Amino acid sequence: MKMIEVVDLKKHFTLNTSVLNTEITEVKAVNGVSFHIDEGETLGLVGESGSGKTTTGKLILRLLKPTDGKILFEERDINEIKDREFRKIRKDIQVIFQNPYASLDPKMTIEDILTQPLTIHKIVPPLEFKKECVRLLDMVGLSAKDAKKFPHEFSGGQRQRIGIARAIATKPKFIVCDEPVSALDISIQSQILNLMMALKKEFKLSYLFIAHGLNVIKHVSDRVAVMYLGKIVEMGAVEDIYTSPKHPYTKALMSASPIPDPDIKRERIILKDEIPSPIHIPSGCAFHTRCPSCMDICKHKTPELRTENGHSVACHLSLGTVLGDNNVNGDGSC
Amino acid sequence: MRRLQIKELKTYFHIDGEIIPAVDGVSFHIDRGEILAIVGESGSGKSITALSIMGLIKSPGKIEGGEILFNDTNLLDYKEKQMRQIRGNKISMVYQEPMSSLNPMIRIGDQVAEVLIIHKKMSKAEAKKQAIEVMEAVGIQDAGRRYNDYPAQFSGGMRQRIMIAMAIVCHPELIIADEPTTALDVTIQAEILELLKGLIKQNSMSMLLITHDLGVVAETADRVCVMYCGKIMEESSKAGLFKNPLNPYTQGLIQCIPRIDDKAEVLYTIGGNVPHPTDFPKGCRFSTRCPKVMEKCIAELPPLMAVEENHSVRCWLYDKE
Repeated sequence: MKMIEVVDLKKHFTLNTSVLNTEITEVKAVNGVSFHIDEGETLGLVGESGSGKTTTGKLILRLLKPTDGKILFEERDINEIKDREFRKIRKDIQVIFQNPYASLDPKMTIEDILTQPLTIHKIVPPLEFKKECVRLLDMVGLSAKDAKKFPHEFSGGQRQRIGIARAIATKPKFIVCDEPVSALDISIQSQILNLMMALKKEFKLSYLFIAHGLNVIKHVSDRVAVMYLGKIVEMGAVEDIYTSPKHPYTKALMSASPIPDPDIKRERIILKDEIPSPIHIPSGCAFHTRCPSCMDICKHKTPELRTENGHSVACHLSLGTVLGDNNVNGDGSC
Repeated sequence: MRRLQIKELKTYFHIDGEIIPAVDGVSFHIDRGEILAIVGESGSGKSITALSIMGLIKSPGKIEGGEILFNDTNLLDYKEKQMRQIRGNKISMVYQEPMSSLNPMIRIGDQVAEVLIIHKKMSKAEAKKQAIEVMEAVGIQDAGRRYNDYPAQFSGGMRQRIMIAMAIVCHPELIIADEPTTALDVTIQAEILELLKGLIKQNSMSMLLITHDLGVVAETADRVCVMYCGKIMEESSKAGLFKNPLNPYTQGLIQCIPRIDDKAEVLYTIGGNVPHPTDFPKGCRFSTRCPKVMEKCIAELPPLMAVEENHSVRCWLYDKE
């Protein structure tokens, strides 16, 4: 069953650049994104900074209103639901944030932090709050005596465990995980990833897992979507994406991701320049300015995301729309 | 030839009557043209080691002992005025945060040229000419025009290139790069690492690369030191460390990273947390988390033992007696 379905989602932020508002500049943070996540499934969302990953997450949490498009949670459009009624749904959609130092209120004890969602969503009767807190702490590998402590008494990894306990307190069906391990040390990362995977199995959770580390995404995801400048450029089963990436951008990302083994020699695809600003998205295929196999058509025609055997790619090279057009600039100049 | 040799360096912090041994008896060396990586988690003392070499330890921190031999002279004997001749000139540093390490109010080019005006006593015009050359060398296109831009007009990767330009403009003998690519995207990271590596090898400079990312180590370094809680746990050539990690801490670190070329259901984990610096264990610093802990480990700190040529480890498992 589809837990979440996103249809042609767009979010454009307006910047006022001139005093008289004669010029309107738009940041096209999310620019036509469609995907779905099934029950018990993890969709990994990768891309460089500025690709729109976090904005997509925020839109699904209804922390932002989309400019266009639909977000269906269990087949209901969450933006059509009234605020009051949405509160009931909110307990099913939770979030784990990136920075465990900033996402816990320093003045609240752990017990207060965990009791808050229980009170608001009436998960258990008030008499059972204490017991439930202990149960949650136990589930994430902390002990009952931690309940009275404040966030500053914990290390980064432990704080992230508290963040996870808070997210699962409302017995959610779906969790948006926005870079949940990027701020943690390597030896702690694996602990948190194992915990998240165990919880997913136990409660049949669906995750939207946002990260920039390709190795982390590979480990947690069932399917992967690669974003570039507000659009999905490639999406498919994790094995397909990692063993046979089709989009030149995915290939470049794969080749740039460092592997901790000096014996593995790979051909490194170095992209020129950096991700363009989402205010001035290049015409045609947004990646054409950096693409090592850019063709003439890429500069003016936007490639559609087309799916074959569950593997979607938005690239003129894979689409075969260039029959007879061999105008490939081998040197990468466009 | 030894470019830098550190002997038994101790940098302690005195906070609220408690002593924090951030760097606790660290020794290593870097040869000419060599890239040495220090890997460690937060709190391992890797950045404090770098700041100690640069002479940038401020109160409540203090270098309590040891030697920092740079071309065979002990930098700890230098006065602040003498250190200023070294810093940015013979030894320079590339910091982690390209966003906050540049002055937002000063033109990019002037910030690069300033180093030359101060250290090489160049005139403004000469310095500008050379700054533009260096900016081109680190891959800034159209450097002549971009000389007059402000940091806000540069992207993260470009700013890091400027940081590198500032670091190499005086042809230093040693570059200390403290997590130079941590704030950058992977595609940019790959470029910056290639750039640094190329510059070091071409000009036979030396580099101390500080990172927490073993992937970066595997692709960049010649030799590696693994630090944990202020101590070096293992020192080895890069190949030796990845093929045959000896210390259980190093083994754990290598195993617990999810890899894109491997699919394990459950990741290996190192249990527990990094101990608080005021509360380091008496014996081996890793004894509280080590899966192979023995009684001796809790009682006594193991010395750094040479097991093979170019491979030493601080662990009682390798004690021959």
